[in-house]
Amino acid sequence: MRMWQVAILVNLALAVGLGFGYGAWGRRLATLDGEVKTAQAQVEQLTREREACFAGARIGEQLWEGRGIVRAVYPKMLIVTHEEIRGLLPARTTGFRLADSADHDRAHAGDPIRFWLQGTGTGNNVLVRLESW
Amino acid sequence: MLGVVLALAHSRLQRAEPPVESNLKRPPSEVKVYFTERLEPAYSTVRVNDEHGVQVDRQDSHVDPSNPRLLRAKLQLLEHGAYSVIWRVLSVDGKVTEGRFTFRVE
Amino acid sequence: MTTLLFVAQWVHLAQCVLLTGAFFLLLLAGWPATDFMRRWEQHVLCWARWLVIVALASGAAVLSVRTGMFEGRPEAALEPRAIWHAMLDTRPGFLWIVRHGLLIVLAAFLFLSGDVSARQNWIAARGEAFLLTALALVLIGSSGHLAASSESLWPQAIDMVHLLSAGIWVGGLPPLALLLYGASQNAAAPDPYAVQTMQRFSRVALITVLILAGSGIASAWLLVGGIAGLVGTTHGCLLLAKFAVLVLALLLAAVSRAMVPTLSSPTAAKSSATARRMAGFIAIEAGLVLVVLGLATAMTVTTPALHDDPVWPWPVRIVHDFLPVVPVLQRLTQLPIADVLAVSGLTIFAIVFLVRRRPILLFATLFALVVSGATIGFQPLIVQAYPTSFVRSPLSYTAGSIAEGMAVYQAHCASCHGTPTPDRAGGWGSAVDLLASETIWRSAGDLFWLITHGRPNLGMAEFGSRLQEAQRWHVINFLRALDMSGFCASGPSRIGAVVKQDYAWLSAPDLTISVGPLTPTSLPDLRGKRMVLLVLYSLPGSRARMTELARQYGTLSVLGVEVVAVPPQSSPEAIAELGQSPPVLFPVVTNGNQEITAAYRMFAPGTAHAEFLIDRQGYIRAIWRSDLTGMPEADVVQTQVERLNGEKSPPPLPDDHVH
Repeated sequence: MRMWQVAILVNLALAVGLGFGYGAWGRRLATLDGEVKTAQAQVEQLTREREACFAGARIGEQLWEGRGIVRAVYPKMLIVTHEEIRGLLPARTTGFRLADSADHDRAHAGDPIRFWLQGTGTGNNVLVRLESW
Repeated sequence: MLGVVLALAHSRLQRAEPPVESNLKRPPSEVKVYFTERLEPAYSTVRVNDEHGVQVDRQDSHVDPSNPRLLRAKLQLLEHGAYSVIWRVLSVDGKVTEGRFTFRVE
Repeated sequence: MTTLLFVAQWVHLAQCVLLTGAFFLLLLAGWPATDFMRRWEQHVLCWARWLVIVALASGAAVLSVRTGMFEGRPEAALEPRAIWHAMLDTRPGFLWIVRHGLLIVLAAFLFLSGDVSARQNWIAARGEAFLLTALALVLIGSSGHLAASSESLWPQAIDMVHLLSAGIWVGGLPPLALLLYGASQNAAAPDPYAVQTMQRFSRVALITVLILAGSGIASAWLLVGGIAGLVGTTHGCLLLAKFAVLVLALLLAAVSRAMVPTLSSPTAAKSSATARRMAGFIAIEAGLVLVVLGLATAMTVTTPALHDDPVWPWPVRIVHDFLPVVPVLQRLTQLPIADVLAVSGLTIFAIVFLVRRRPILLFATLFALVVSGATIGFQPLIVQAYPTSFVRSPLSYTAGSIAEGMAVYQAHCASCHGTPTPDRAGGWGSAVDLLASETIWRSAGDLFWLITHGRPNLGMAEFGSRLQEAQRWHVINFLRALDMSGFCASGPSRIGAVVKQDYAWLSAPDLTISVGPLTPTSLPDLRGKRMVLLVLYSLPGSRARMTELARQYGTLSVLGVEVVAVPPQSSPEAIAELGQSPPVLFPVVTNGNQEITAAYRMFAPGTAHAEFLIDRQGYIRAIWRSDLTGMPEADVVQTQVERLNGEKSPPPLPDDHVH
């Protein structure tokens, strides 16, 4: 084979090998990462559903646990500055509707509390239980 | 040549949380160390020991995926006392740097 | 182990550089038309084969030594599993694989002979070889200091350009010396193709040296942080040595370049002798630049000067921050540029015209004038310096550090230097007034030296044995805050109730926002994202203002302001005390209050309600004090925030550490 043909072949092989190898390797890592994250999220959701079931909730509802500081107590609502609630909310200040079962009489502004939310996660969660942190 | 040994100075360490030689009122939940150069995740570690040399971090030291200059590790609940943060990192240019600093929890 | 790595890397770099240059020179010489050129080409190819073998061997040595260093155990250098891990899981390892793959393909090319009698095939063979070595060489730049210090590709590109131009120029020198030596062997005129190659190389070399110098200056700019870094760190000194040897090599190159015209002179003996002499000079030049390569390799195994603490070698230094102090310079900077240029241009023209026969005299006079002018003019800017003058504080500038420094100061320094009082009118001791403008000239490193060693001739004891290093740095953070508080209280840099646009200088000490048992955040976390309104309040006096802030919080949030409230004492009841009508939704600090109050009260002395507006970069831009400026009305904070939002370009981020 002529030298120039050899040269072109070698260049093509290098370009294809490097480009393809890097692209495929990078993409494979990204998909693996994504798959691991999805699997983790699914496991957490199943755990929450199981806990909700033990607590007597309806099918499809989950139970989330959170911690925070009470900012305001109203008859039907509690405003809490909370840490991240995994699978639901980032760390922020949120107002939660109170279920009848929640014993909120002794909670005052400034108290640190642990609380549990029950619901399907699409905005209809209620605070079902709280205790001091 | 210097006449005074600078034990605290560290090349390549930019800042840390908790800050170097700080007194904290609440125990931190995490230690974060920022460096001046990008790190190799496979060879960069940090550990936190208490005064007796017992490891008190959760052994999950890792380079933050969204910031290649940040090395972080979560901590167990810390009691009052002095703690040392010992780090050993490999930067992308192949240089290994190690060092330590202390902080107190009151 | 570092020495071993240095030697292996030096050898490897030298091989790659020589390979690139050899093939570039072969391409420059062109398809060999005479027997002499064919013989020379065969010699160069044989030389290239040896280079490839040594390059591969030294590359393997580099990988193995690096594995030992990565793992921290010398024996790991010989463990296959450790080497495999180092190769596949790190970026330098990945680049090593690519580069050595290229070198192996090149070796195959060189050792398997192909038919190169046709010009096309010859160009393909040599060109392909050059491409492979050039790629293998420039990828070294992808694992250097510049690649590590930035995510963008441009700093790496500078390194790559530098390597390529070095390869073309430096690598071509040994084969060129060989060519000229061979051409001068018999007394006859040197082979015309050899002369042509030398002329072409001379032209190309000029361009490559310029590119080399340009990229070298650019990379030095990025890695060396100034004069202190250049003369005070190992990296900087190596750079200076590299530059010195390079200048020597360039002088030799200039001498060779001057001899090029005589190569093609009609007298055979003269051109032959010239060729022999040029071969000698080029060989020495090649030796010198190989030393430069060694210095460059040494630079890659040392910490860049920007990230290292320099040791200042001289007793004085020039301060360049305080230009307004020297009236002449200030007036000079106010002159219109065009007039200055015109006048100086005409002056130079006139001088050149008058001394056109003796340029050396002219340059000598100008040099003497400039030096004496600078010595006189810079006199006020020259200050005493110490070895630690340019050392950066290892402790962050935080409220905790300032409070700790204040405590150490009260215990050890107040007896001579006095206690700073809120109104600054209190008497100072007989020692130096630490608020004076004298102290602001001193860098943190200067202060560290003075505290550690004292000033025996002025009666200050040394504190190196009495205070730990951390305590001394805490005091220095406190002194910086003290100096800044003096400037922000009165004078032209005063920080008041109205934001001065494009005028940010007072960096806000870092603080930890710890609300109850929630995970604490810190002020730097908000940097770049939100402005902060820090409120130092105390009940019952601030009750009305806190109620108003609670109502306004929604609007302020939308404008990008976070409110952080700090009562004077750490107390878990702080939120409860503020009540819930209206509910207080912004962070209220319950831990570490004493430190935050101690530090920030330096900028707003007293116990009255105080508020600080901190911009997104971390500078304090407005201070309200209820006893001086009154409390801001509902829309006043909003107006100041809008002024901040209206700034065209944000100020640079303040350094976390004083210097």
